[in-house]
Amino acid sequence: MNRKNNRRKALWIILFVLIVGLSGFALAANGSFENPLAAFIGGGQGGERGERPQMTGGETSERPPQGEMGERGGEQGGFSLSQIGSVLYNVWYLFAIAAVVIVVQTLGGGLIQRVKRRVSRAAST
Amino acid sequence: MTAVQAAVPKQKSKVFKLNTTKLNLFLDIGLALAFVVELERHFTGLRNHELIGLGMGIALIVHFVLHWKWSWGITKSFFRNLFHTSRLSYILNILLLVDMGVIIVTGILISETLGLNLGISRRSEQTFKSLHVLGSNFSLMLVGLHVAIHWKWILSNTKKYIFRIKSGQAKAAQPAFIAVKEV
Repeated sequence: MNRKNNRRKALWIILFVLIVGLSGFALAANGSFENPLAAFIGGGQGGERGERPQMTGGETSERPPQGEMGERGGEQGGFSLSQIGSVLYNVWYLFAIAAVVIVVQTLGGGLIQRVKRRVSRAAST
Repeated sequence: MTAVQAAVPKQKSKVFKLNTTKLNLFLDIGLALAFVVELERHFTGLRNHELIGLGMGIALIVHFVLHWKWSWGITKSFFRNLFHTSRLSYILNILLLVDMGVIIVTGILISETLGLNLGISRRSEQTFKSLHVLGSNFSLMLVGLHVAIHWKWILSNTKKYIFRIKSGQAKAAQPAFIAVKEV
């Protein structure tokens, strides 16, 4: 029963990791893929979230001056559904971190248990 | 008669008993959804961005108040047992608290639509904006780790309170409870 539960749990984890991986590919293909750590790697200031890197040249778009705010779609007023990709990217990023932690925790936990079992077995013999 | 009268307030208190786990779960889901939307200013628009940010600030205070016992307990015993998973979670939570504090404070300082004319110089405003952006970039990673570390709690309570699926232990415990009742 316990083994069956473990197998089912492992299957769910594999499925979750697969979904995260596939959605990552989909987001990358859609151009909604960015690295939030690029702001730190790129030397301090970084780009604002939601401002997609330009496809040509790969440079991040510059922040508009104060006066220009509000002229872009969805800047001041209501929701701009064209930016939904960025929101999905954030959701994906949270799930991706969760997937990494789950995999590390599961594999690490299993490994630690196996080592502990071996040590206790060796101590008893 | 007196026994009946005494039983009435007891029943009332049962009805109004607050399920903190359920409250935590729904508050956390709301916060997570608001967070992923809030990060994209171009999606929400500036006005909504600032309003959601303020709401999130209040919700975060509630979230912290709901977990103050845990925080206080770990703070007291932090150096007693240094190598423990809760220490990692604690350090991560402190980082997240500081980061969120910076984001909220700088967000209020640079707000344009809330009608708070705080008289900040252009230079300081630029600094606050940079801090706000850096903090929000960093927060995505921290929130991701925060959610990931608590995935077991999230999964079990989502099953219990949203999908109404009983855990294996609860299912096993139910017949025993009925048997005791019959005796």
